[in-house]
Amino acid sequence: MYTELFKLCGFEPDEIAKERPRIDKAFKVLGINKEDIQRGENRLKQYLDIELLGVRKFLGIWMRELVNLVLARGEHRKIVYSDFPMELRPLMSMMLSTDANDVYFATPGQIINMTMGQIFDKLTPFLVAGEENGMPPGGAHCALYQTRLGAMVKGVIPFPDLSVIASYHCDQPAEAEQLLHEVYGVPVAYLDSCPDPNWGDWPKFNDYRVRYCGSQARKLFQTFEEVIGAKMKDEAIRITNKSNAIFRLKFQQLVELIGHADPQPISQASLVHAFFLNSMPTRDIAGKQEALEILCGEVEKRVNQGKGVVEKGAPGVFCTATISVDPTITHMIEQTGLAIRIQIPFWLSPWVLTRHPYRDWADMIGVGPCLDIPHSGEAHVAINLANCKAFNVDGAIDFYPYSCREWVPTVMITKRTIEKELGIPVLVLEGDCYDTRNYSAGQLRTRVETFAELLRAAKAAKTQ
Amino acid sequence: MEAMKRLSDYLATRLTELARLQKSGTKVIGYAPGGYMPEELVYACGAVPVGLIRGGDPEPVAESAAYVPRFIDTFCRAQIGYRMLGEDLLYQMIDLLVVPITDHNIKTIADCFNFFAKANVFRFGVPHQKDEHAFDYYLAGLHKLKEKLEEFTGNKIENGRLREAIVLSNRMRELLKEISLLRLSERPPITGREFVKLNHASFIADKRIFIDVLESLLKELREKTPSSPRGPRLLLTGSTLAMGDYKVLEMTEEAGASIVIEEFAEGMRHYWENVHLNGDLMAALADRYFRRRVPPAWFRPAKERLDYLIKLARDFKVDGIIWYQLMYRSSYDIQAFYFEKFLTKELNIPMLKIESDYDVSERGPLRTRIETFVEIIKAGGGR
Amino acid sequence: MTRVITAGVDVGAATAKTVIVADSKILSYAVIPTGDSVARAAENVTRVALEQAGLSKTDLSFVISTGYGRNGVTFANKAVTEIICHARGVNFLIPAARTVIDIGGQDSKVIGVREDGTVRDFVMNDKCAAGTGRFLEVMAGVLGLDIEEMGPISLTSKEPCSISSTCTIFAETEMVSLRADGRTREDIVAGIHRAVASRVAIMGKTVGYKEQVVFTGGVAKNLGVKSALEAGIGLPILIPEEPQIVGALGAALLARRELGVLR
Repeated sequence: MYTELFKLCGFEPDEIAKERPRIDKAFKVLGINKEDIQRGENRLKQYLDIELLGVRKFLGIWMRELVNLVLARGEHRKIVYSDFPMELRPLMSMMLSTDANDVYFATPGQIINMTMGQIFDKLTPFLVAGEENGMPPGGAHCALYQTRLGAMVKGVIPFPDLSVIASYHCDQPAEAEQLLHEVYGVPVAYLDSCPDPNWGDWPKFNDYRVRYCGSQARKLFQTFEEVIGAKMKDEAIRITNKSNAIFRLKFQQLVELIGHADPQPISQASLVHAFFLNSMPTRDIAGKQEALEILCGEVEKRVNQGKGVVEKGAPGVFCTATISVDPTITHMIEQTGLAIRIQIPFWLSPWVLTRHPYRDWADMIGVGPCLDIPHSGEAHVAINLANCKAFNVDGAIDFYPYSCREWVPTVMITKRTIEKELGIPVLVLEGDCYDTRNYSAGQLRTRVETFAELLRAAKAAKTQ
Repeated sequence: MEAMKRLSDYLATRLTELARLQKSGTKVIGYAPGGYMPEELVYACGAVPVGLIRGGDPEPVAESAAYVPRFIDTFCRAQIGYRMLGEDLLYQMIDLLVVPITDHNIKTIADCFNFFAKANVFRFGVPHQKDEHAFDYYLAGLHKLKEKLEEFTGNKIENGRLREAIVLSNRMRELLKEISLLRLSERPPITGREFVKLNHASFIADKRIFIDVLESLLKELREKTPSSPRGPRLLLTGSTLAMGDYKVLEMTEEAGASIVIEEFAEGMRHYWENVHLNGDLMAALADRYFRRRVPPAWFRPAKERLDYLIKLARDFKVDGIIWYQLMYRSSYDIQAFYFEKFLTKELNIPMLKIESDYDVSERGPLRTRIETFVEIIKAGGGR
Repeated sequence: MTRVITAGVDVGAATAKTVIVADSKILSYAVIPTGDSVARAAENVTRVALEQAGLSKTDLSFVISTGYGRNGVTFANKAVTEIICHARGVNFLIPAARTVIDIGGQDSKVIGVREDGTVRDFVMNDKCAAGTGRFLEVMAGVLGLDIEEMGPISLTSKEPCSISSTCTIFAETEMVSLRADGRTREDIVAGIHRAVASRVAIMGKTVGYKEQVVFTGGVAKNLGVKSALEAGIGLPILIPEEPQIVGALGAALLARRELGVLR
């Protein structure tokens, strides 16, 4: 029934045969039927560059994790959850300090989004369950957290033995996890920091901020040891550091290759499954690196051949990469004749790669938030601006997820700043990156088409 | 009550007084509420602190739409609106805005004042839990604040002056506590609305004058002949109860119930704890303002706040809880959901959750809900 | 020499309009209710406009469709959004226009227009009835007035009410209670106009208001809203003679550009 679908997700026939009993079991729990599979196949063919092996392999990693996630309780002694926007490094180093058969790590919200959402477009039941059990509609709650709560409450995925969450990015994850703790008894550990830099500080950060977050990382590792019964291993840290850096830098090369190419060689929707592996802990480190290498090669080939999904000479824009569940919106933007040069935050801006003196693992994790978007509104705007400049865009689309109180505050500040500093138009689009019920490609089309027309006219005027 | 009248007359002149002080060189330091700002530091450098806690009006909320999308907490949008509308003298006159960064909604106030109002803003962080590292972090933030205030006003904050300011603030808190505790009685001599207005006045009034008013008021209240019992006793809780946002208090009273105790993170001055005057004063401030205060909803673990609400409800013998939720304050919205289960089970009393976006059209629906809730309690139901 | 004749077809939710243009002049135009079929409405309104000009469909060199139903106009050569078309149309009628405020039956927009008629920036509301013609319709219904009466009545008010409900449904309630409080009809009607204008004025701040400011769309005929908008943005407002056809006009002009005919 699903052979074709799994082939589109990079599975070889013998792997499908081998995994069939597990896939059958998982799909039964998830309630995936023939209709869903057909829809999934159609969506993959229509919205992603599915002919590229790299794209298929990335899809495969997520599909495997979906099956693993659903069956986790029966197959492992302990389960640890986290979710976007938690940093990968603490998770990965904890994961690699344990045995693969013993402890299972996952970011369930993301996994369900990338598969049930992106591929099958069957997210609604989870969202409704989340709404009914703690995060009611009308309150602009984060659909990612509604998804994971709903999936747990519905019994589709197990409750974990430990939940690890960042409590400084935004207010949702932390309180949603407190609910999990108070109502369902799940032990929760937080990575805390403070988004308190002053306007004018960026990109400087101070030591005591790093030390505080570092102390929280240390606490996190201690809780992990107590609850899961495993100690952090130096080897795990080493592998995490190395493989993360390699993947991240290769991904950086890929986005730069795409961003500087004309015509745009692949749809930005095809990069989403690759990018979010930067926050999903998977043990298939070799697999994800291989997929990336293959994709880079295939994209290079297209660039050399001058092949693309948007016509050559099209106006280039940045778009915020918050369109993670719905490829139809990215697709619609590209169909209006706009080349999306870069999705934010795919590209590591220069500040993020700054050298710093911290060598202890916990402190290295502690310095992370100081260099990134969530920490400071000023940083957010500066990073947006840097992306515009690095990719020489003709315009910017600040697609903000309406329920994300981390992203929402600086939208108009970004618009004013980019218009003033670079003199390029900025389109502000309100949407939801995880819930397609309220915002659709159709509704946004008029605005995006108008913006595309506006940019084309401006580009034509410039060349005259 | 005579003291309240005196206060009201005084407050009518306060803005003019502040303007005059400012003209003669005194700095007026505004701050975002949340209970993490030690006013004592501002007094100790010879400046005047004022809390930016106005709310309840729809116009500033509407105005804020030009600067920030609507999916940010109502109160925070209102602050941006007050400043950008330019009609409220207090919001325009502040020389510096201090924002203790608690959650992203408050951070939005700081960002908008920085960028759109081009105001002087100083931020320092409040961690979201209370271990020793968090305490050190908050204390380090207080030291940065101290440096900033000294640099901004040109006056050094010496121990002597700081101690003086703490003694004064302690006295104020003590008096507010005494007055609030009068509501333990079956026949509270002061209504919820009166107490809240009094509490709000503390953010604007001169400390000495305010303390004088409180002392007179306490005396008056103690000597007052007890009135008849005022119907069901209620606890009002939520994230923010702003100055001017009195509709819920009015409606509850009109429905025949009394709010005998409030628990809000913002908008109400926290008066239960005083600063202990031993050892290093900065550490003492951090101890009172960070460690010993009741945590708001963006603190973990939530149990501390839950237990506190249960204790308050028991001590004040409340018959019901009203949870006043401002739109898009997500931590509170999620907490309302699961707290309700625990509170109602533990206390065997009903809880009503009401929402507001400071919109005029809410009045009718709010009144209906509040009246119905009070009726249910009066009829002995909801247990 | 054959004239280049183009047509713009603007199919909105309420009305469909066709404008026929040749030699930088409007030859004819027609406005009819859209009804329940976009395709049929487009056909009919175009036929009426053609008849008026003494032309047939085969005389048209290029047709651009716009508006909500633009993708359902089967005989159009191209579909372009109403924002682009409005800017172009206003630029033709009032070359000094730099800001367009368009309030229609179901949506409202503020458009920043350049000297050459291209769009500099825009913002639109198509999710919420408050700030659109819909709001006025609902309120007129509650007061028992014809929609055409609303504007003139509002202008007679000396002390407009402040209606601040953000939701159309609740504004209805607010209005009823104002009546109960004894406020006069004209003050309430003026308050309603202020409410609509205020929503749109705030929305447009991100685009910015530069003179000349032009008001278009179905609601532009309402002088009460015009007056309230002027008060809201602090600038005088111009209204073209036939504000409803601006979109279709712009579409017809863009069609000429498609054929390489500038102006």
